[in-house]
Amino acid sequence: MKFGWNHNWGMDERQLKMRGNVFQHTMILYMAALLADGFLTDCGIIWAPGFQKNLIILWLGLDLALCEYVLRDIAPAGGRNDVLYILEGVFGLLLLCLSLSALFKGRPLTNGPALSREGAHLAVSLLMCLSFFVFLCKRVWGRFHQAEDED
Amino acid sequence: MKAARAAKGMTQQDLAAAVGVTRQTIVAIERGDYNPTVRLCVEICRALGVTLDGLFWPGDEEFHP
Repeated sequence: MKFGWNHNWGMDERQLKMRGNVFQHTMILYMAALLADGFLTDCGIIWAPGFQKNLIILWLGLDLALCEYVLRDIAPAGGRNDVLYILEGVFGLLLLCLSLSALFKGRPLTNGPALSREGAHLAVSLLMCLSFFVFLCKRVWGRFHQAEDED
Repeated sequence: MKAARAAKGMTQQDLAAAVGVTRQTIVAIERGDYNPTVRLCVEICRALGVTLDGLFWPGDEEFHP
């Protein structure tokens, strides 16, 4: 069994090929997001506070990759990847509750034209919940459509 | 491939387990969404008890180079 970068995590040949495509898409997304952010910063437009800005870009790429994983059956529901999505959902919902409680306490989501710290946390929590939601939908869909595949 | 699998009385899950891939990969091959490697083709043929050209060689009407 191989470990490290060459470890295939028990994926078959189709999954490995698809995983490569997802990594490629994620890298292009990161490049585009970093270029756009750099351009906006040079133009004097700050859309989120420093660390939170990086956090949003990071989770954007990660969660869209996780969604693509589920939608392309790279990580089929019922496998060991379930734990990752469930943890993502639990922490996403926790962060969403914290963000909403801060909102109800009167803290603003925006700070002028930029997102505030709470706004950025809300954006990250929604991204985390998105991948969990896609995972749940695919799981329900798969349960009802497995018989159709066999026909 | 679907006909050969049905003739053998195997489900997609059975075939997937026999050749060591996920059921979704068998679904993709049967739908024509994924072209398996020769190595996987050979494994599938062994599991179904058919020859490689019998299962994967296209008929004249199917072959469009």
